[in-house]
Amino acid sequence: MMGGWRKSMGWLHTWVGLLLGWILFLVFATGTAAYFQDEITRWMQPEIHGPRDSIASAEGALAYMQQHAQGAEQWSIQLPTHRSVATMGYWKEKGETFLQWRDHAFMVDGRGHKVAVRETTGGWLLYRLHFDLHYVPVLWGRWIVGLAAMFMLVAIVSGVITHKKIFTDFFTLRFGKGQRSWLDGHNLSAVFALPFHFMITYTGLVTLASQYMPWGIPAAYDKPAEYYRDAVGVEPPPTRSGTPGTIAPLGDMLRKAREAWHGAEPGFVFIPIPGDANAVVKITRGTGEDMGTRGETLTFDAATGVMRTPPPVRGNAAQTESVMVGLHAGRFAPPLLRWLYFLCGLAGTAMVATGLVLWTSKRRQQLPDPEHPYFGFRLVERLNIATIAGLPFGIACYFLANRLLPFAMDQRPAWEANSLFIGWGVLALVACVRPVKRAWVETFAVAAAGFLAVPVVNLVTTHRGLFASLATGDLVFASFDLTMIGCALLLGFCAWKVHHRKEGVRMRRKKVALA
Amino acid sequence: MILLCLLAALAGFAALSMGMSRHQRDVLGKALPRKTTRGLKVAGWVSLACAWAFATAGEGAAMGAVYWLGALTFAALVVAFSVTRLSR
Repeated sequence: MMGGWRKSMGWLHTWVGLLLGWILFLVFATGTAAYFQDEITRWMQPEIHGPRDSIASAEGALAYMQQHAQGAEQWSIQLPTHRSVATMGYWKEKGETFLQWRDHAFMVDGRGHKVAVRETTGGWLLYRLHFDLHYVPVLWGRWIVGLAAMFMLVAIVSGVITHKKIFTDFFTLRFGKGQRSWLDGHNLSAVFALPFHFMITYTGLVTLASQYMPWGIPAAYDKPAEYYRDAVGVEPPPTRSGTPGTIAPLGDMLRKAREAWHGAEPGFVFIPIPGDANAVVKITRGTGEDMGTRGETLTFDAATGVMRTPPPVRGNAAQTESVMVGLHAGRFAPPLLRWLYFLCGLAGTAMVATGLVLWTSKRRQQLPDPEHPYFGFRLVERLNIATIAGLPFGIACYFLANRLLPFAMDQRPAWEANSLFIGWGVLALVACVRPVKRAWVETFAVAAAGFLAVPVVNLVTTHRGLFASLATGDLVFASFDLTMIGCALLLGFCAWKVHHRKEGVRMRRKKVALA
Repeated sequence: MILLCLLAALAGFAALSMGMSRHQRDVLGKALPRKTTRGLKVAGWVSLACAWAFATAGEGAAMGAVYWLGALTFAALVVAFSVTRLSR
C-alpha cells in the first residue's frame, strides 16, 4: 500500500507541478524581484537624489496641490518607505475614477521640491505582474495565479510525501549526472527553503482570501461595503459644507501620528474634499513599519489639526491576516533578512525551473523514437526554454527600456512594460524554431547579454553608473548594477554548461553494459 | 546576535552532514567511529537549537523565528555546496 500511496503522490506531484509550472515560474521570479521593488523603483528614477524626509516632502507635495489642484475631489500623498526617497502626490478630479490617478501624479524629492522624473512603473510592475499578470483583467489574473498557488500547495505536500529519502539525501548534490543532478537540484532547492515555500504559498492565498472565498461576507453583511468598513476601516467621505476651509500644518499631524504609533512612520496621507471646512486628513501607518502590513489610519480635523479618533483596536482575525500578508510581502524586513528572503525566493524559482526540466529529462530516455518525440514532449520542452530563459531576458529588456526610451514619450510606462513582453516573445520564438540544445544555449546567452547590457547602458545614459555609485557610496545603485552582473554571470554559466554537456551519457553507458 | 545565529546554523548543519555516513565517505574518504558520528549528530542539533536561541534573544520570538528559518536555509545551501565541492 505504501508504495502505491507514494507512487500516486508522485504522479500528483508531477502533474500539478507541470500544468501551471510556467506560471509558477513567473510568479516566483517576479515575486523574488519584488522583494527589492522600492530599490528597483529608485534605480528606475535616477533623477531623484538626496535624503529622505517624509515631513518635508509631505508638506512640499501638499503645497504643490494647494497651488495646482484647488478644485480637486481628493488629494493623496504616498510617502517614502525606509528604503525609498521619492514621494508621490496625486489628485482626483470630480467624476474621475481611481484608474486615472496617473494623470495627476507628480514626484517630490526629500526636500519637498517637485522634480521632473521619467515616467516609469518601476519595481511596482514586477510586483503586480507577480499576482495580477499583465494584459488580462486583474480579476482573471488573480484567479489564474490563485489556482497556480493552490496547485503549488498540493505539489509541496505531495512532493514531501513522495520524496522518501528526504533526510539521507539532505546535503547531496551530484553534478554532471544528467537526470540525477536535476533531481538533486530540485530536491535541494525545495527542501532547504521548505518553510519558506510553504509559508509563501499559503500566505499568498491568504492575501486574496476575500476574492477566492467571498461567501463569508454575504453571510454576515448585507452590503460588502459594510464588511470592508469593519475589516479595514473604510469610511464614507465627509459631506461638503460648501464653506471654504484651510489645512493646519501637515507636519504637526504627521508628528502626532508618529507619536501615537510609538515612532512608526506614516506611509500615506489622504485628504478627501480638500479646501472645504469639513475636510479631514487621514494618515495611514507605513506598510513596512511592523510585521503586520495593514497599517492603522488616524483621522485629523483638517482645519485645526486635532486628532478625531484614537486608533481603532483590531480584532484577532484581522491582526492575523495582517501579519500573514506582512510575512508574505516581507516589507518589514531589514536588509539582511531581505536578502535571506531573496535567497529563498531564488531557491523557489530554481525549484520550479528544475522541476520543469526534470519532467523532460525523465521522459527523454523512455521515448520510443528520441529523434521525433511526441507533441506533448516537444511542447513542454519548448515552453521550458521560452519561460526559463525568456522571462529573465524580458526583465532585462524592461530595465533597458527604462534607460533607452525617450524621456518625454507618450505612454512611457506602458511601453516599458511592452518591452518586457516583446523581449520575452522574441526569445520564445527563438526557442521554438531552433534545435533544442542550440535553443537553450542561444537563449541563455542572449539573456546573459541582456543583463550585462543593463549596467553598461546605465553608465552611458546617466551620471549614476557603477563606478560613480561605488565612489559616492550609493549602495542601492551599486547593488542593483552588481546584481545585474550577477544575473548575467548565472545565465552565462547556464549557457556554457548546456553547450559543454555531453549528450546521452546514460544511453552510451547502457550500450556499453549491453555489449 | 544574528551573526551568531548564522554561524551556529552553519556549524550545526556542517556537523550534521559530517554525521552522515555518505558524506563521511565522500569528504573524508573513510567512515568515522560510531561514537564520533553520534557526537556530531548531537552537536549539530544542539547548534541548530542555539541558532534559534540567538535569533530569539536578538529579535524576539516572532522576528527571531523568521531570521532563524532564513539562516537555516542559507546555512544548508552553503553546507551542501561545500560538501559537493569537498567530495573526492
